[in-house]
Amino acid sequence: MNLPAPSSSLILVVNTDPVVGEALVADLESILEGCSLPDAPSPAIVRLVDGAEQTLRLAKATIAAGGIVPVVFVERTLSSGRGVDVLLDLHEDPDLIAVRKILVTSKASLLDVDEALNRGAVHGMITRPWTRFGLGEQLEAQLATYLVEHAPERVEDFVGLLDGEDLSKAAARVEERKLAPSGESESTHLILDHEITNQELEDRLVAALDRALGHPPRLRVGPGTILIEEGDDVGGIYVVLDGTVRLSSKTTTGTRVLHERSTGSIVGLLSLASHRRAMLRCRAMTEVRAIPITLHQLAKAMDSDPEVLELLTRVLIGSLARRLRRSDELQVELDQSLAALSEARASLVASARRATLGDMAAGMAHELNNPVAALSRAVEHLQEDMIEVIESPSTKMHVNRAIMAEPPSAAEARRAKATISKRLGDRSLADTLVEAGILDVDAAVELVGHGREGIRQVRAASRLGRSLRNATSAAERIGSLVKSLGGYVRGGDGQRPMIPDLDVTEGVENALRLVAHRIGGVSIERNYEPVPLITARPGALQQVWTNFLINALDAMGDGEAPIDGVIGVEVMRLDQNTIRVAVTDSGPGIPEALQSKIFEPKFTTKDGRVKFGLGLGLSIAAQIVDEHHGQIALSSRPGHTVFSVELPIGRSPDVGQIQDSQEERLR
Amino acid sequence: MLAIFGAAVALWISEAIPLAATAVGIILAEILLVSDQAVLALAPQFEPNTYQSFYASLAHPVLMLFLGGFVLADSAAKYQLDRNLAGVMLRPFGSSPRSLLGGLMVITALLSMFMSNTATTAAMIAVIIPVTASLDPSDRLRVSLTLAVPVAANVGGLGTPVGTPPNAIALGRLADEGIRVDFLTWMVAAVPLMVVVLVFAWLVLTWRYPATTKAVDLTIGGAFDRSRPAIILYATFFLTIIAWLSEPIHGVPASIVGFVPVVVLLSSGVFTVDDLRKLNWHVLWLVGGGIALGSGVASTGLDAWMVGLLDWESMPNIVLLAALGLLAIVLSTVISNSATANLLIPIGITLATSGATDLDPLLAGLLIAIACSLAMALPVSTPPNAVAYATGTVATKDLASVGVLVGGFGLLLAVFVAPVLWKGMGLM
Amino acid sequence: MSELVVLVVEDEPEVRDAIIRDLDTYGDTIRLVEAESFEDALVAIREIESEGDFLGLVLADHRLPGRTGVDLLVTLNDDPTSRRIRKVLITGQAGQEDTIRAINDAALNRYIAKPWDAGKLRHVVTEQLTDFVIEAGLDPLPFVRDLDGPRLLEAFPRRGLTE
Repeated sequence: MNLPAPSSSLILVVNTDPVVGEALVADLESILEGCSLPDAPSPAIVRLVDGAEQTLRLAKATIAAGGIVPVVFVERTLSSGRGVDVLLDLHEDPDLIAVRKILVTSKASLLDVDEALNRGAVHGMITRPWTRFGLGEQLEAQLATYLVEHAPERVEDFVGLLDGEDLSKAAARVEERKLAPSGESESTHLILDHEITNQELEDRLVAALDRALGHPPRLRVGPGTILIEEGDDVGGIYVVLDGTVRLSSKTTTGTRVLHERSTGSIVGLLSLASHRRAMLRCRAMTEVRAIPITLHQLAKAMDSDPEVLELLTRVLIGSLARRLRRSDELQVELDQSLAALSEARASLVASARRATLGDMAAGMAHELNNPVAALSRAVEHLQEDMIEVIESPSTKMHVNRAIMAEPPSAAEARRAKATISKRLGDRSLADTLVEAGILDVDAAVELVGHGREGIRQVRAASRLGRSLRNATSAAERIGSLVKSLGGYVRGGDGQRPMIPDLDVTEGVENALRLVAHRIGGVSIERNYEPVPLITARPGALQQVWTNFLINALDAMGDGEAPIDGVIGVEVMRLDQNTIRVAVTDSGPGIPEALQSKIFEPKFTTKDGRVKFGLGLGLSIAAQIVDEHHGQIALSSRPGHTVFSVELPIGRSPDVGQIQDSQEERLR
Repeated sequence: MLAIFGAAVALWISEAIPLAATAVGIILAEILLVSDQAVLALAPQFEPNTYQSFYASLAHPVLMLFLGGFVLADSAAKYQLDRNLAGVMLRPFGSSPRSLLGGLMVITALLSMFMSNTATTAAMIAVIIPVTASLDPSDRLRVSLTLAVPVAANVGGLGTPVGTPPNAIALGRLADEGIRVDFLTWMVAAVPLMVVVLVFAWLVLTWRYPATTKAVDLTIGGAFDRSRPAIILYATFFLTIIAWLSEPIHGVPASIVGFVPVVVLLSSGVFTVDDLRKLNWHVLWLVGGGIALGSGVASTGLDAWMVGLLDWESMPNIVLLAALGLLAIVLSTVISNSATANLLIPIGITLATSGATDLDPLLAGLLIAIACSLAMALPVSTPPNAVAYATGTVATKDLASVGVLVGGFGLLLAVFVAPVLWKGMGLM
Repeated sequence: MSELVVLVVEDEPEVRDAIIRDLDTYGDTIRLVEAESFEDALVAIREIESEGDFLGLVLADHRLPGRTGVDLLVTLNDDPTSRRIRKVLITGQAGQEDTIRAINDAALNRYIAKPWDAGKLRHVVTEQLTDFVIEAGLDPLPFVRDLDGPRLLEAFPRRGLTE
């Protein structure tokens, strides 16, 4: 390493971390350069060194050459040891004692630094990360102090950096330091004595008061006695010798106990800070023995014995600290209960909404049952009576055929119309024939022989049958929708009993029907193995399947009805004791980070990719599966996401157990 | 020329190409074959007409009269003058089915005297569709109301020179023969006949289709448009009609008077260029073609050849008239009235002017034109019939029976009574 | 003779039957053709064209298997040859987004909610077919008795028949 030019000013930075060290060097250089005159060389050189030895060598060499070392920045934690030791080494060297020593640290704790501080080996501390402004201030102040005290002839070098004010402040500091008492204090003050116990303090205070006031009278009160009323003028203080005193405050929601164990032995002293008005009510909870001391007596005692003041202060600090800690505890308690409250409220609102929706759906399902039953019965009766009323056997035949026959698809109907009209050469006649359910050319030709009137008759009969068929199937569809809805609603109700012979596959089919309106262009691949009946709550399980399906549809359609994709629905027997139901979708998949959280309550993904239909979530599904002593699982990669449930076959969990586990969850 | 005539007959009857195409085809054929610019002169023995004279038939004064009628009628429709007038005129007829039917016929006939029969029928049928829909389906008043409109429109068309194209074709041919018939004269001759036929038709309809309803609510039109263009139109409309009727006083021919509203309405913006584009120009061309055919027949000696075909003198006038009228009514029942007129009027007037008979040319022209208008026995006979038939309310047999009765009665009247009357009035 | 065609696109046979039945009051001049999906509708439209008929109105259900009725109407509207066809959406449930798209991108003419009223359905079909006949410049006379007669007759004199 090349030495700096003789008679120069050297600023050292001690750091074993080159990155931080270089950064500090660069900042210091730029502060110095920024303040020097244009073209003039920097007034000081900044060097990075890595330990005490190098620092001492370089600093001494510089001084020996007629230069100065005004400031050293030492990193607190060096790889070679403590920065403080470097400071102490510098401090102990007579040549370098005057160097201004600055500790660079990332934490403000005084631990370990106290020795150096006590011995005046630290002149300044800056924290990492530093700010340019803070660093500049520190540098200016230390430079000014050093120059004023030790090298006034060099002040001119730094004229761009230090103005008159900096220098005069530095001069004042130097003066102060000269006046400050030197040497270390050996006496111990009560206030700083952390070894003394509360009991000792109280005993000494009582003894001191007894001495000063000639053993003032003791007061003995029974439990419930109010010593000080909130808001009253306090005439003095009580020194509680034994017993428990409770401090409480009246609030809008009643009386709140603020302190009992944290009361402390002196009561009433704090009121002095509030115009002698008591801030709290003070009540004896047990039999209490106390010394009442008037303010006048207190003044007298303090005058006659300085120890009283000191003891009083010490006791007061102790009791304040206890009360402060108690207050902090109260604050934390308050925050916790507020959070718990809002959580409880939110879950209450959500469950109330679910209950309302459930009630509504249940009510609707119930109300729909009657008209649906009436409708499907009426259609069937209509059919029977119609057949009875119709006399002509051929009409009867056509009505029956239309009721039984699967109606042609639109394309088939068009094809039949085209073929027949080509044969007959009459399009409107062909249309009529196809509407009459005649799709076959030969049958059409034969029917044409019956004349227009005959064809109209057949068409009317055929339409009659078709209308009956349509009415029946429509009523059936409403019926099955109502049934699914009913099953769904029951799922949300934990009170429903387990049934011992539940067909899981049927439940899955019900769920599929319930979401049929959202399936859009998705193809459903069913893969059902025959599985034994299990004991379970049908509605609850159906709710699980519905959730899986809605999730899958949401994932594939991104909120809209998906236009393609595949949903696999699988029911299989896993082993002797377990059946497995799985819903697989070809959607984008669930990110790995989210998979672990997906069954947790209140889970939502940020982009809303995973949504829960009908106000129920996977967490509820998980809960339901738990109740059935089953396992819920998810595996997902893009294009292949499987939600699966394994349910035990033989074991029938008893109802009480389930309710227990529910109650536990509620708590 | 006979070839041209024969081709025209074939094309107009078969409607293999549009009627107007046949019309311009005739003009082109005449220019190429018998004009002074003939590429292939087929009748060199005759002094050829200039080719300009054939083109000129497309701007014949009669066509200018017609153009005026078109512009007036379209403007009237545009500002709903037709419907509003109809509404005002219908009010005195009350609500009894019989008088309402009569009122409907009078109004339809009046409107169709100045507007095209088709436009009048479409407008009036549009008005009565809601009425017939509200009537009991078994009420035969539905049929009579629907039939009354085309019958009255067809009959009304013969009332004025601008009522229907056959009238114009007759006037054009007569004018080329130097016989000028003014607007008022035509009306004096035709309106009495029209009135009698209308009354007869009314009687037939009320007799054949008695109403079961006691009262009918029929309101037409609404408030008169009071905007500036509408006022200009009203004034132009009535002043033009007055000017047409008062020709004997001021002596300005109807074809010149008819051109005035064209200029006035176009320049005042009442009738826009866009409206002009939508005019039924092809009707004017069809009439022009007929006039060109007539002058071709006269100038090439075809007339003389035709006259020489028969010994006309041996045939009483009345028989000749009846034959012409019958031919016209039968032909125009199956083909267009205008095409019929185009074919028969040259023949009839040629016969009258050739000296081979003592038939009055005016009488021949009037009779053929009137007979064309009286043909209304089939849905295809005239567009008004087609419109009425399209409503589905009237069957072909209804049209046939009423059409044959009214047409037959009209023809008898025109052949046997009218000439006597016209002579008595000093028209011929 | 060329006929005017109404294409009914509905996937559920019961509903399709009901619509067809409600529209069965039109005479011989108007033919009803049925289809059950987006693709099936395109096939049916090709058949209609190959028979030389005029497709005047498409009555599409919104919810169809695969692509929706709105997709169909948008497709028709994007093709200049089929843009003139009148378009009516008949639906039980359509989100606002779909409806907006149908109006903006498919130039939807009318919207019918399920369950529909037969009279109103017929009224809409009559009105739309009448518009189509007038706009397409077809001879209005054959349709006077089945469609809106007065409006067709107003358009009639412009056809320029010769007396």
